[in-house]
Amino acid sequence: MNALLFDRDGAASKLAAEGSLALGVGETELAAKKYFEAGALLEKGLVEARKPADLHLLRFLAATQYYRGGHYSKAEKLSKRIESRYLPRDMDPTWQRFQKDLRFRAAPGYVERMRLRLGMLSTKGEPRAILDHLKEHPYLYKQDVLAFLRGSLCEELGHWKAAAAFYAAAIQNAQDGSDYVLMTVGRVLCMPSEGRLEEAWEFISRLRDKRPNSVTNLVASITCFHRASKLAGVDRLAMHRQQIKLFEEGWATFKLLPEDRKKSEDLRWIVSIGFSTANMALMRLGDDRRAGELIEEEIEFDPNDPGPLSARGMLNYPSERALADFRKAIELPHPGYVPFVYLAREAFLRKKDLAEAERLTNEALSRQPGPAIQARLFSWLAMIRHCRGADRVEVELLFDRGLQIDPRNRQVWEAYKEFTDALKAENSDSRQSWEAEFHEEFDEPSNPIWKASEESLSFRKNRRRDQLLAGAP
Amino acid sequence: MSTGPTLELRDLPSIHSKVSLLHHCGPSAIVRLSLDPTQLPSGTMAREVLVEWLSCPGSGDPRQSVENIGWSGVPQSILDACETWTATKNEKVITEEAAIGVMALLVHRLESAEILSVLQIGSGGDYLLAMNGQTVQIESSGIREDDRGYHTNARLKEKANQVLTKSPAGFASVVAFSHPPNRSVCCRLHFVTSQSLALKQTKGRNKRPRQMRNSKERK
Repeated sequence: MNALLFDRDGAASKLAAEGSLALGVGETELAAKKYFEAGALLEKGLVEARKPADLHLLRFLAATQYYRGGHYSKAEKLSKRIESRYLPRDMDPTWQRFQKDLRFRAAPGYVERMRLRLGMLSTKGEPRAILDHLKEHPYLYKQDVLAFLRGSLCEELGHWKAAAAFYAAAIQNAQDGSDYVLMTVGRVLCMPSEGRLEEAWEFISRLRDKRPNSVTNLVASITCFHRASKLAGVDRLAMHRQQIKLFEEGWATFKLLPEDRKKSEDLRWIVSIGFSTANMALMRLGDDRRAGELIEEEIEFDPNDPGPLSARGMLNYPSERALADFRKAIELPHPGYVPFVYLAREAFLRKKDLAEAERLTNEALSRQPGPAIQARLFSWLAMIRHCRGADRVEVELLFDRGLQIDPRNRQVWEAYKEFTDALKAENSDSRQSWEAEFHEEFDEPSNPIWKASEESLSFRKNRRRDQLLAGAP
Repeated sequence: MSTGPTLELRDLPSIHSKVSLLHHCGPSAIVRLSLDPTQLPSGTMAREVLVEWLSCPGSGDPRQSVENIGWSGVPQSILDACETWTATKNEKVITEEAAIGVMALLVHRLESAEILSVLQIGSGGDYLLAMNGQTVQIESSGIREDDRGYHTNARLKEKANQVLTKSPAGFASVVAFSHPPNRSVCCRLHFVTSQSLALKQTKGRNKRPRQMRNSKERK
């Protein structure tokens, strides 16, 4: 074989290499084009082949490039002109495999059969198997659909960098705020509460870097809030500043969206959480001025949202205006735990109305706050019940419940210590020292509909994936 | 410790200007050298490769050396591609491409050779390579993990035989990306001829157990 005969100047190799790189990053349209050009170039060289061995080997090489680019019919047509007796003997297994594979792909119904197979794998819950099939059959779907499929599969497998890269490719031409874009971020919002904060950040920071838009900026800001909450001191404040920057970018971009997009329920939900966390961050940063401005913008964004009313209440507490905001908030749908906590605190500390304090604390608990808040609320119930004359066993059970939920909660341990010290001193009243605990701030935004909406987005994404696997447009 | 300067993947376009090896093999090489099967600490930009090299004319004992292969200064698009590579390419193809990339750097450094063409043939991980015109054939192969350490030798023999079916002499290159005892990267780059292969096979046959040889001699 004349090794110089095929690809004399390396031009076909270069085209094939570009095709290979394109395939590797999921750019199947470019890959198809490059491999086609490589095959065509090799076919041109056939005129110079004098020996049958060279001629048929060149045809095999050209057919391979067409195959690589998904041009199966063209590859099959060319390979039918190859006489295997002229190929090097050691190439026989390669040739046999190639023929068999090509026949399968060039046959009518290949795409439909493969899509059906992938659908069945999806039903069985085998994302890795689907991914492996897509490696071998990358031309079953349009480029952006393939990217979305791969993104959701990598997400399911916890391969966050790859998921972000694929989703970024999938939403390249999608409108900001569209369902497609929202589906890519649905999973991220609940990962912090699952203890997967760093994975959430790994994903959203990459997606946001590649595709900065209202959705990715807002979700990144929310994730940043959770990261800041795990830190202390100057690190926490620095993280909050980063959060605010992301929020401001997201909010500014949101305001430029078309009106119909702004009405999307899921998008508005993300904006609402963005506002809640931004408000809390600004309060932690001590920037009450900007917090106040943002709250007014949020109230204008959604006058029926109890969130900004609670936030304004927190900003102005203690004051009658704050209490009025809390009372209005609890009348609206999904008020979260915050207004109930402040009203319960007011009932315990100022009104000395223990029954009301207990009722409001139970209401706060029923709003599904996070573990740290739940634990503290159980300790509040313990304190209130003790003040109302409940027996020791009942009170201890309530403290115990709080500590089971959050075993390292400092405030709960301190309150419990006060209780046990008071019991030892027999006549001592722990109520005064507990008042300090009621004054301590709560540090978690209150939006109980996160979980329901995340589940809704995830469900829609999985359903959309199955539709796409089956070949839906 | 490496015996010379780091061989950088970013130099592939200049040393093998006729083929786009950086596009073709760069991401696979970076994946195999730094992510899988061995994940290196983040920020690591080079890896040692233990090289066993038998140069032309293929006689004598192979030389051992340690080379450093690096990936600093490669275009960001190549580094970005590594993020999705294992989700878009099958394991065998990644390993074979990575082996070509490592071999390309070593063959230039050790033999001043230039690769002229790299074309995949068939539907699997087989490649046709051309080097330095007609005069030198090269067969390249990769092994992702050689747990026991003997697959590399077996594959080398296979590739050596393959070279000689096409040409009276050539190179056989096998890169194992995890090799005992330390899961290091090893490359065996051997120049083979029909005479040198025959000589090796004869040496192997002559290494019969002493007892057997003595009993035959006694007869």
